[in-house]
Amino acid sequence: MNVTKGGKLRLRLKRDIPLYGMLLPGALFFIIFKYVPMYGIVMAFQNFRMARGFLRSEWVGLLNFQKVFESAFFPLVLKNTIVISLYKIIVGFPAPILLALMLNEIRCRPYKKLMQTIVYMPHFISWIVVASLVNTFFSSSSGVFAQITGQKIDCLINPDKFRGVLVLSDIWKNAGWGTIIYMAALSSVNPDLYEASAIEGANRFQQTLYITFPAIWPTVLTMFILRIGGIMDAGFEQILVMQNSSVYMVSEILGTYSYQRGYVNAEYGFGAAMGLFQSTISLILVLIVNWLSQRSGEGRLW
Amino acid sequence: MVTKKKKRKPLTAGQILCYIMVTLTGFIMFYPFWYVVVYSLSSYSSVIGKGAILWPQGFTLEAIKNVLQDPDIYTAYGNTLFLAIGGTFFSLLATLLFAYPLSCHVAGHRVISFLVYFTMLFSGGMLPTYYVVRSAGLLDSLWSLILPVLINPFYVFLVRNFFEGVPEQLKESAFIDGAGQYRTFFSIMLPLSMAVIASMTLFYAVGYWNSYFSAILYIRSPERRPLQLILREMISSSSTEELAGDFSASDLTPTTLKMATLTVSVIPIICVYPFLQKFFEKGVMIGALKG
Repeated sequence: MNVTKGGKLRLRLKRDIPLYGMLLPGALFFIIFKYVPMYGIVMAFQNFRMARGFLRSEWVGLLNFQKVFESAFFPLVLKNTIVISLYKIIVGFPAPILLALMLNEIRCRPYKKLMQTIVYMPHFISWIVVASLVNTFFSSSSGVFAQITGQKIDCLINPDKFRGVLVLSDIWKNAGWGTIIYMAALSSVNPDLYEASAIEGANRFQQTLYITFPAIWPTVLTMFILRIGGIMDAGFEQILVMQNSSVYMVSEILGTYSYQRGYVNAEYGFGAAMGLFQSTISLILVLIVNWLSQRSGEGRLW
Repeated sequence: MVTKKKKRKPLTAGQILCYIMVTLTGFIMFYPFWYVVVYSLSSYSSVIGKGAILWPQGFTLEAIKNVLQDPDIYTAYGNTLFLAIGGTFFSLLATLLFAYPLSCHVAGHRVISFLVYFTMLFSGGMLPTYYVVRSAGLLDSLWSLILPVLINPFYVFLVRNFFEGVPEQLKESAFIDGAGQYRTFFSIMLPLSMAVIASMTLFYAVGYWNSYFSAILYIRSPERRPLQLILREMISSSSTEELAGDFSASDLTPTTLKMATLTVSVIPIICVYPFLQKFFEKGVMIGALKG
C-alpha cells in the first residue's frame, strides 16, 4: 500500500515538475510587468526622479495627493470623467441590447449573419482610425457632412456638442460587438416558449416583453454591473486622440490629465498619485458592485 | 405542422421595422469604411469636383501604390506586422503554457489564479510601468510593445476553463503511453483547443495591430514607429498641409493619401475577422459567462 502510494506520489511529482516549468514565462511576466509596477505605486508618495528610481527617491508623504486635490483642474477633470461615463452608460449601454433584440427578429439567416459581420467591423479598428474617420466626416469645412449640407459643422470644436461626438463614436465602435453576448443569451431561449405563447394568442411584442426580455435579464444585469465598475475610465484612448484644444474643458478626464501632467510634464509623483486615486476608486466600485450582485441573488461575478 | 405554418406567416409591422432599423445600422457601421476605400481608389481630379460618395471616380491605384512605396509607411507597416505576428505568437504561447498547469490543479493553483485575477482589478498604472520598462532597457525597442502586455489575464481564465473541460481520460491515456507533460500539452491539448486558440489569436493580433498608446510612451525613433503612430501624425498634420500645399501637379492630395493609408491599415484585419466569426462569438460567450 505504502509503496504504491509513494510510487504514485513520485509519479505525480515527476508529472508536475514540468508543469511549473510551463508556468515560468507567464510568472516572470506577471511579476515584472504587473507586480513590480504595483510596488512602484510608492512613487505617488515620493518626489520621484527617474534617475533614482522608486528605491532611492525622496519620500514626501501625501504631498502629491495634496497637490492633486488642490489642483484647480482636479474638480473639473473628475466631473468630466463621471459625466462622460454616465452619458456613455445611459445612451450607450442600451444600444447593443436594442440592436441584439432587433437582430433577433431577422428571420432570413444569411442576412442576419451578414448584418452581424458588418456591425462587428468597427470593433476591429483602432481609436486612431475612428478619430480619423470622425474628422473626415465632421471636420468643420472639408468634412463630408459640411460638403453635402454646405454648412459649417462645428461638433468637433463646439464644447456643447463634443461630448455627444464622444458618446456616439463610442456607440458606433462598440455597440455591434456588444451584441455578441446578448445574442448568445437570446439563442438559449427555448423556442417552444414562443410556440406556446403564439398558440395562446400572444403577439410578437408581447413575446419580446414576457419571454425574450426575462431571458436576457441576468446577462443585462451582469453587464451593467461590470460597466459601473469601469466608470472611472471614461475612454482614455478614445479621448486622447479625439480631443483638441477647443474642447479640453469638457473632455479632459482623469486618465488624460494624469498622462499630461505625469508623463508629458514629467511630474511623476503627481501623475502616479492621480493614477492611484483612479485605480483605488475603481477597485472599490468593483468590490461594492460585486457585493451588490451577490445580494441581488444573481450570483457573484466571480 | 404548426412550425411550418408559423414560418410562412407574413412579417408583422414590428418585424419590418426591425429589418429597416438593422439595415440602417448596418449602413451606418459600414459606410465610413466604404467611403475611405472609395476615396483612396479615386483620382484627385475627379474627387475634387464631384466627390466620391458611392463609387470610385476615375479609378486609380496610384494612392495605394504611393502609400506602400513611402519608406516611412513601409517601415511602419513592417513594425506592425512584426508586432501582430511575433507578438501574437509569444502571447499565445505564454498564455496557453500558463493556463495548462492551472487547469491541471498543480499545488498552489488557487493562489496563482488569485494573483493573476488581482491584476485585472488593480494595476500599478502608466508611470510605474513606464519606469519598469525603462529600467529593463526596453525603451525604444519593439519588445516594449510586446512584453509589458504579453499575457491578458482574462484569456488565461478563458483557456484554463476550456482545458478543464477536456476529459481527464484523454490525458491519462497519454501518460500511460509514456508521454510527458509537454508532449501531452502539445499533441493532445492544443489540437483539441483550436477553436479557443483561433479566437484568442484574433484578439491578440487585433490588440497588437491597433495599440498605439504604448508606442506613444515607449517608442522614440521614427524607424520603430508602428502604423498607428504614423496615422496619428497624419491626422494632426493633414488638415494644415491641405491648405498650404500645391498638389495639382500630381494626382494625389494629402486627403487621398490619408484615405489610402487608412485603407491599407484596416484592410488586413477587416478581411480576416469574418472567417473567424463563429469562433470568436463562442469565445466571447464562454469568456463572459465564466470569466
